[in-house]
Amino acid sequence: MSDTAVRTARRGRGGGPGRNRDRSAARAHATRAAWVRRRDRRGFVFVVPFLGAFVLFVLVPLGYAIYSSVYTTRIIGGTVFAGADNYRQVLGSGQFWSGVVRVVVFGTIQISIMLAVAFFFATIFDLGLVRFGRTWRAIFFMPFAVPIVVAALMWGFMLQPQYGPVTRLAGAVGFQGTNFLSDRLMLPSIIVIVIWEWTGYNMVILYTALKSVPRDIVEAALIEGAPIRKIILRVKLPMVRPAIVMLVFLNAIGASQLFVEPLILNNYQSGVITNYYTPTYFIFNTAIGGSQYNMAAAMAVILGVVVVLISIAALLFRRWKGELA
Amino acid sequence: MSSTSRVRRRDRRPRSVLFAATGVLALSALSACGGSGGGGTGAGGAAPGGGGASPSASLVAGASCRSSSATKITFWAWVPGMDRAVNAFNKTHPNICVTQENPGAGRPTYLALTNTLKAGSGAPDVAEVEFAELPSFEVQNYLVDLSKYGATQYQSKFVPWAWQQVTRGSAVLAMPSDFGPMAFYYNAPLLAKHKIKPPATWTDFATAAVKLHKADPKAVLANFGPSDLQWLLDLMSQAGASPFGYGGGDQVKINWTGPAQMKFADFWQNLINQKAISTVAPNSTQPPINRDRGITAAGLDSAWAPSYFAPQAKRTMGDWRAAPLPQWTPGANVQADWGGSTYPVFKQSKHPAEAAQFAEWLTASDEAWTILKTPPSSLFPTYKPLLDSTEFKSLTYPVSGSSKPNEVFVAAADGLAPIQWPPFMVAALTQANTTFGQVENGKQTLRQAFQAFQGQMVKYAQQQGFKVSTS
Amino acid sequence: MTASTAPAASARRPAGGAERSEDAIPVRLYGLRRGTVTALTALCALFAVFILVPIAWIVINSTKTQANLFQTFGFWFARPFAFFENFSRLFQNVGGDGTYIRWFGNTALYALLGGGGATALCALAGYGFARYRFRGSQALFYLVMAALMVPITAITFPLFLVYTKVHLINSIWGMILPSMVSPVGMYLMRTYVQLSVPRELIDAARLDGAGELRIFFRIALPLMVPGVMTVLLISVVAVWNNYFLPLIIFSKNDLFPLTVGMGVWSSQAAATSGTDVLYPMIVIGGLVTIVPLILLFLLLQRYWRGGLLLGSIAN
Repeated sequence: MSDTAVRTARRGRGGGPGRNRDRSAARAHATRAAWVRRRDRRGFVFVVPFLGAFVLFVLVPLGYAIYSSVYTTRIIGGTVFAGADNYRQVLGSGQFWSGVVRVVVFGTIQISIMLAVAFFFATIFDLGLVRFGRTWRAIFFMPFAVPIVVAALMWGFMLQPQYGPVTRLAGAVGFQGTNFLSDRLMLPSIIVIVIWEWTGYNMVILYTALKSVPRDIVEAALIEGAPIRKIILRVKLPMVRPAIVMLVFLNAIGASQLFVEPLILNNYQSGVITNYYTPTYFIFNTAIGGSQYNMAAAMAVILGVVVVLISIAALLFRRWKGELA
Repeated sequence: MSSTSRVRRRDRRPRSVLFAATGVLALSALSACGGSGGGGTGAGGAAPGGGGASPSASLVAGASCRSSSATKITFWAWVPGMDRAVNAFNKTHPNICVTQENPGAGRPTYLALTNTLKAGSGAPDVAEVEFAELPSFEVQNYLVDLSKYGATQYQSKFVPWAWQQVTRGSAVLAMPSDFGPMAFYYNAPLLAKHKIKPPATWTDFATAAVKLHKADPKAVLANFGPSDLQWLLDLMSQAGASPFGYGGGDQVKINWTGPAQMKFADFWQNLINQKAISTVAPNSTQPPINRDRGITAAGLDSAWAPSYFAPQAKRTMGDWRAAPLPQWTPGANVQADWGGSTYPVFKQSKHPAEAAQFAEWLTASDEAWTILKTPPSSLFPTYKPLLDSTEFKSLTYPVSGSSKPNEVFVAAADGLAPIQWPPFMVAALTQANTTFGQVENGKQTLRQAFQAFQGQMVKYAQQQGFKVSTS
Repeated sequence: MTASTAPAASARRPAGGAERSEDAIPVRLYGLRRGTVTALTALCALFAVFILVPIAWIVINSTKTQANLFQTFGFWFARPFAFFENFSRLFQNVGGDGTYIRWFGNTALYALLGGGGATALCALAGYGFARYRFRGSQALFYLVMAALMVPITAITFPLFLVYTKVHLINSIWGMILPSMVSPVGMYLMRTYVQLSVPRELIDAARLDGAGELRIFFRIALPLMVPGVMTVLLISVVAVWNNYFLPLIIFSKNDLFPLTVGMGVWSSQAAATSGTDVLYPMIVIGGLVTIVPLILLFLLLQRYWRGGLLLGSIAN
């Protein structure tokens, strides 16, 4: 089977267009023999299945989103070309931007707290500063096994304003009438829920990253008499900085898509989770609730652009800081 | 979920309505799904066009068909126990084979209907659609005029209000099935303790509410949850303040800010300000708990209340009684309805005559109602022969002790106020969740919310190409 | 949770008392104050309480009737003990016979095919990107990475619109196929291959005349197993967790995965103001949903390499 596939790949290589225009690859591997280059092209066979699925299920829908976002479908009058109308409306919508601001605030607070906590525990586990470390790690990781829907349901029950046990405990210790799902406390509550869901996962990733820091570096620092705090901050932290950057990135993408928690918590408290509470929730309500699919597509495109812009800004900022340092 | 409120009216049934018998084949289908999933459970053959309908659609009935040459009809409904009626129909109509599928209560069904109707294939021949949602399908011109198939002959069998809801001029858009006339449903010992009688007018209601709250600051007479838009519209219709008007076509009336609407808003806001009523989220777990704990003394409830409050009642079991809704004009008889379903036939159907025959049998025959009146469907009929029967009126419910609440609910059916629904009900429900949530939250007055909602609805309707009038 | 240290390495020292692995530096060398280990252990216990409270809640409340769910204190048991009744209802009649089982089966199917497929595609593509330089490979890789930044909604929602055109609404493939695309998984696999599959080994195999695919399956893949397991875990959990996609592409409740089913139960229960007996079902259903994933973790935890992959970006 594999041999056939390789032959197919070879044929594909032979017939590939623009063999001679392969300048950039040639430049990159100028020292390599030509046969290596030809062979390397066979690697394309390995990425084709992934790329095929990627095109079909990421690029095509993305393209379709952009396409449909310049139309509008009305109950009376059908589908007509709308140009930039949908974009104008979304860009001028205070509700949409309030959702964007909300997830930015949410993400900033939640990710900072979570990564600080995760790094703290990962460090003390790595240094072996606690008893039963293995047990704690297993416990901390458990929420990763809880689907977000189920987690949101559990927390909804626990924080429910009337019979929720957390609410009742808060009442018992002097915070009578605290509503954890009120306007003021809803976002903090969601932050707590998300921290509960993801701290263990981030902690375990940081822990394995810290473990991969070579022992002799740490020992050398110890012998020089560096205090433990310095070893953590000056030796360990820089070594795992790439992991932290990646975690910030992945968590930020997660935060920008906050959806399930508001959707579920809306069942426990009305009037707080507005239709536009987060951008994703707004897109959902615009499309499914309001049947304004084209408008929702425009929102999705704009949200994507916003996330990309924020990511680029973050990258540039890092590079700029790096140059200063 | 944003538009759950829509689901609720029709769905207050014992057990889970939502999963109305996912299917006799559900378990066997599980093994099929483990294998390929695409292999199907055998329901696929019944889906015309096949397009939007999955091969593994939930087949809840239809296995009872005898002849393979029978005309195949696909039917979507979420009422539990509906499969019994479908099987009975198939048994007595060998030339027609009805297959029932259940896309889920309310929103999932409407979403699937909209998608398949728009796509041009995959829609069922007949489906369950609530009264309030019917205009949303009518405006898209998706519905078959059933008067072509003899539906008009059944007019006299139905409560006039229900018949008026499903007709547009001479056209019959759907067959009406069940509904929910409203009443003042109250905790009798609790009101008796405070010497409060069921209020005859809304003025009495306000007085009673204030009196009760003064006597017991923890207690309220009722809960007011406007984010449940259907309920709100029903109460407004009783006050002659119906904000929506739709008579077919591309014209829609939206008026949330007229004198009648503002009077309604001020009446309730006054009680909210005095804390004489609560504004707990209507679609949360709190209202029934508050009732059972003696915090909420009464509810403006629908005919299904006696059966649907039961699982939640613990301390107040047997205490609940029904009295007619309070009136705005002393001595008047203006009632309201909360919810109910209809069965339209869709133009996509290749067999509209057979589909109509099934819809008519399902809603206007003694055979069907003999089945549907019993649990788990327990429908409250618009079908007069059953509604008016002594047997039905004298039913008792554990929550209501030895009383006969249906006497009140059935009587209310005669005086139902006319009501019209916007031809974009899902959008209205979604928006209401946010706008009226602000009232329950205490951030806005009802008047402010009405004004905001007016703007939102007008904007939406105009965006959708409607000609909007506001008076 | 990690296999990066040697197994069974937790030789405890009577002096320090804390968990030590063989190659770790003895705690006494850190020059910490006495009692630090105890204090930090107490902090861990505190955080563990925070983590365990909801889990305890769901275990406790799976034993309650609906009335008790709301009317008794949530962090303690109440009579009657209804666990078995609740549990058996999951399998009997929750309005529709076997609905929950059906959802469970669906979820397992989607997770298995979607997560498994994602892992396979990621392993192939990660290897391809890591060990071959073909025309445009860099550009393609960065294109895929850029797509990471596009919110899932921005893809999922239009995907739904495309599905309405190609009749993939209410098709299990509409759920499974997109689940197979995991840019993060591909990225992790590429990193892992760079770390664990030496070029020299591949070149040696080529000199021996082995075909490229044979090299992948016989030489590279065995070395990639821990990375593959990590990606499998992440992918399966991603599908198990997926809510948005199935929520909008499935309108038939017997196609729902558990997440959507539970969400629908929740809104249905809310819609009926708790007059339905659905709440105990939600609680017990949630509990049963969690169990298989915990088992999966225990099974796969020795392969977990998540941090190693992310930590090695520096290279």
